[in-house]
Amino acid sequence: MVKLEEKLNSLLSMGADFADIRYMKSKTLIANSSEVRNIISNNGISEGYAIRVLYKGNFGYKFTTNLNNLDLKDVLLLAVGDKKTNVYQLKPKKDIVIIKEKYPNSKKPNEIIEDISKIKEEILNADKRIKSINVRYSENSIEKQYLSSDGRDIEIKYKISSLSISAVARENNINVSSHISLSTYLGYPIEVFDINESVNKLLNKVSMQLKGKSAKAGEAKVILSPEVSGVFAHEALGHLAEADLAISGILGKLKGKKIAKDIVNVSDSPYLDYPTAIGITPYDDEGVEGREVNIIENGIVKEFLNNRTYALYTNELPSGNGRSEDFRSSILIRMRNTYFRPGKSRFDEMLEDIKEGYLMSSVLGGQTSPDGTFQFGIEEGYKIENGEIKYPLRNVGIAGYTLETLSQITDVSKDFNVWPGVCGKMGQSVYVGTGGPYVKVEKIKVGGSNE
Amino acid sequence: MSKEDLDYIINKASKENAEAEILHVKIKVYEVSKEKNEQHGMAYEEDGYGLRIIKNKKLGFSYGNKISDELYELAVSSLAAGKEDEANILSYDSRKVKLEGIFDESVVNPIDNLKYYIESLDSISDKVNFINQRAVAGYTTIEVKNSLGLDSKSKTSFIWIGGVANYLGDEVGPEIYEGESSKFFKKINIDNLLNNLVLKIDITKRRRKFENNKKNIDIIFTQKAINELVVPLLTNGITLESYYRNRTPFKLNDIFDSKISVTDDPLIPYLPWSREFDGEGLPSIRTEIIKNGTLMKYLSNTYWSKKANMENTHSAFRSFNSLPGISTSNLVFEGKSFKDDDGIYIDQVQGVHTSNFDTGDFSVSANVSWDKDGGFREIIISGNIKDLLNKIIGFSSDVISYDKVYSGKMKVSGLSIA
Repeated sequence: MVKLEEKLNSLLSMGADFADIRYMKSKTLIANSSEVRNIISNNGISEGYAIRVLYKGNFGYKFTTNLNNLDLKDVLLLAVGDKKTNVYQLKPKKDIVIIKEKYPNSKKPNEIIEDISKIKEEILNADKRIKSINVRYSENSIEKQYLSSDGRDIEIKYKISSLSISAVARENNINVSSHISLSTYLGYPIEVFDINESVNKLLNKVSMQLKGKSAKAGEAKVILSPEVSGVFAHEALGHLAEADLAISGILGKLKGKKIAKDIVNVSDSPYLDYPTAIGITPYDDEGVEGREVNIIENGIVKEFLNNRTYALYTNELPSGNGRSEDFRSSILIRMRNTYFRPGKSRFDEMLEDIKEGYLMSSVLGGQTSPDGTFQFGIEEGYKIENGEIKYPLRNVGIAGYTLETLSQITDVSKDFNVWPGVCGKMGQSVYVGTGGPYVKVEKIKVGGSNE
Repeated sequence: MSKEDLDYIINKASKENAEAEILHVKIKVYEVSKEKNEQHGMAYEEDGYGLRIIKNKKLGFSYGNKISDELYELAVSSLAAGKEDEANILSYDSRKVKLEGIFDESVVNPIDNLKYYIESLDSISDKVNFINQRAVAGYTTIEVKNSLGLDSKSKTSFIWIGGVANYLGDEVGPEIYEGESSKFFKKINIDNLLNNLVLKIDITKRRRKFENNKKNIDIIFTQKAINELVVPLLTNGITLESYYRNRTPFKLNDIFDSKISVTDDPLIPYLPWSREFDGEGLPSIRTEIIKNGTLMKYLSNTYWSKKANMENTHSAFRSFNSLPGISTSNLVFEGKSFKDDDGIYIDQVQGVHTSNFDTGDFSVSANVSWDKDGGFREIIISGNIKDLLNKIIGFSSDVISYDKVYSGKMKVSGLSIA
C-alpha cells in the first residue's frame, strides 16, 4: 500500500495533475463436462497494475504485471494528445467492501466436475434427441484496490460464479440448440439456484424449437418477455445512454424530451436485490461510489451513464460507470444492472387484444448502434393468435429503431426478473445484469422467412 | 536451474513421470487513442505462462504470470479432476517454418508512427463525426517447449489503425467501423481507410427505408461484411471438434453449387494472421478447406485430430491462459467472378453473435447497406451459412485483406431479406 502511495506522490512531484493506480487480481477456475470429456479448461491467477496520469491535459496509461521495473517517466511520456482531457476530482474516501457469498463453494475441482457431470447425464438421459452438450462451471474471484491522488482508497473483493448449459438436439434432419446461464455473486450456483427447474426450462426450449416454425418476415405486434425486455433495456437503450456514445448518438439530442409513454422507465443500478444481478458495482474502477442512473423516467430522457471524464463534460454527477475488464484495459463507460421498470398489467391481459403477433421469450443476444438501430436473435418465441399462444418459432430475430420502438410500447407488466450477462465494448467484457417485465410493442420488425 | 527457465517445469514434470508443455507469451502493446473528450497514450506489457501436464492419459492445465511451483501445483489439481483420455497427448514435429514479413522492427518504439496515424484520421474530422480513433502497434514473442523435445519460438508484430465514426447532423448515422491491419507499417493503406470512412459516412447521411418489392435481390458483401458474418459462422462449422460433436451444419464432401474455394493460409507474408507455428508449436501449413465447391477438410489441433482420427492441420489457437482451441488464420475466398454492381451492398452487420452456431442459422441486421440509389436505414438478413455458401454467385476482382479475410467482394443471391 505504501509503495503505491509513493508511486502516486512521485507522479505528482513530476508534474502530473492527477494520478491513480488500480491493482487487480483475478483467480479463475473453469470446469467443463461435455458428451466427449470432463476437463478443467482454465485454472490460474492473473494480477497486475494499471497506472494512469493526467499530464498536460492528456492521459498516460501503463499496464504491467511488474511494478518494480516501472519507470514513472515513461507513463508521463505516454500522455499524448490535444491537451483537452480533464478528470472529475472527488473528496477523499477510504472504504473496504467485501461482498460475502451466501453459499460459498468449498468443493475441489474434481468434486465440481462430478457435480456438472451429473447434470450432463441427467439432460442426456431426459431427451435422447440431445446429441451434444456442454455444462460449464466457472468462478472468478476478484480483488481490486484503487488509490488516487485525490485521496480515494478503495478495496473490493467479490466472486462471480456461473453455471451455463448449452445443448444441441437433432430430429428429422432439424438441428436446434438451447442454452441457459445462471450467474451470481452469492456463491455456488448449484446451491443458489433450483437446478432442476433450469434443466426443465432447457429441455422445454429444445422441444419447442424442434417443433418450431418460421416467423413471417415483416412488421408485427410483439410481446417481449422479461428476459427480452431486459436485453432491450441494455442493448437498445443502455448503450445509447453511455455518455461517450450519447454525445454522438440519438439520445444526446433528446435529453429532457419525452420519447415514450409514462409507463416507460429505464434505469441502471449498481445493486439490485436479485442473485442474478451480477453487474454489482459498489465502486467503479475509478473509485466512484455507484449511484442509480435514471435513463428514462416517465418516458422522458433524464440522464446518462458516465465516468470521471465525461461527468465533467456532461455536467452531471459521477455515476460510477467507469469500468475496465482487467488491469490490462483502460476505463470505459459501462453499464451495471440495466433494467426496464415493471408496470401494473397482468401478462394474460396483455395477450387478450392481440389478434396476430408474437411472444418473444428468450434471447440469444443483441447489438445496437448510436443511430438507434438494434438487433436481437431470439431463441424461444411463439406465435400469438386471437389472444392465445399457439405454436413455437425457430430461427427468428427482431430489429428496429429504438426511438420508434419505445414510442410503440403500449403496456408493461408487473412481472419482473433479472438475468445475468456479459457485455462487450471495444474489446472489453464486463459482468452485467439485465432486467425487465413483459412489454407490449405495437409494431416491430421481425426477421424470418420471406414466404 | 533458474525458475525462470521453461525447462524447470518440464524437468519437474519429468521427475514425476508426467509429460509437460509450457507456452510462454511475452507481449508489448502501444496505443494512441482519441475520443471527443479524452486522449491517451498507453503501453501494456505482460509475461504469461500456460502449462499443460499429462499423466496416465489425464490432462492438467494452469496459467499465471510467472513460472513457479504454484503454477505446477495448480496444473496438478486440474489433472486430478480430469478423465483418462487416449487423445490427451503432446505433439512433436521437427519441421520449422520461417516466414518473412511477420516482424516490423519499428513496432518496438512506435509512438511517433501512431501519433501520425491519429493526425491522419484528424484530417477528415470536418467530414465525419469521430466517436473514437485508435492506433495500436505491438509485438509478441511466443515460445512453446514440451517434453517430446519440441522447441518453437517466434516473434511477430501487429498493427491496427482505425476509427469509429458516424454522421451527426439533422439525422444520426450508424457507427461505421473502419480499420487497417497488418504486420508492417508500410502495408497500412491509410488513404484507403480515410476514403472508406468518408464514402460510407456520405452514404449514411440520407438513408431510406428498405422496401422488398422483388422476390430475389442479390446481396454483395464487402470484405468487412464477409469478415463479420461469414467468418465466425464458417469458423465454428469447419473445426474438427464441431464435426466430431455434431455441432456443425457441414459434412465432409458437402458439395456447394457455387464451386467456391476457401483456404486457411497462415503462410502469406504481411497478412494479419500469418504465423510460423500454431498454438501447440507445430509448423504452420496451408489447408484447402473447400476446394472447387467440395468440403475437403476440417481444421484441427492435436487433441481433436487424435480423437477423430483425422489429419492435424496445425490450427491450434490459444493464449497463455487457455487450452488450445481450433481457429482459422487468414481465410482466402475464391470462386467465379462477377463484374456488375446490381444488388444491395452490405458492409456491416449487427448481431452475428446471436446466431445459432451449431446449426448455422443467422438473422442479422445490416446497419450499413446501400444500392445504386443510396443507403438503407435497416435491413434484416436471415438464412443459414451453408445455404449462403451454396448461393454465392461470385467474387469481385478487388482482392484485399480485411482482418481474417483475403478476398474480393462476395455476391450472393436468394437470401431472405426484410
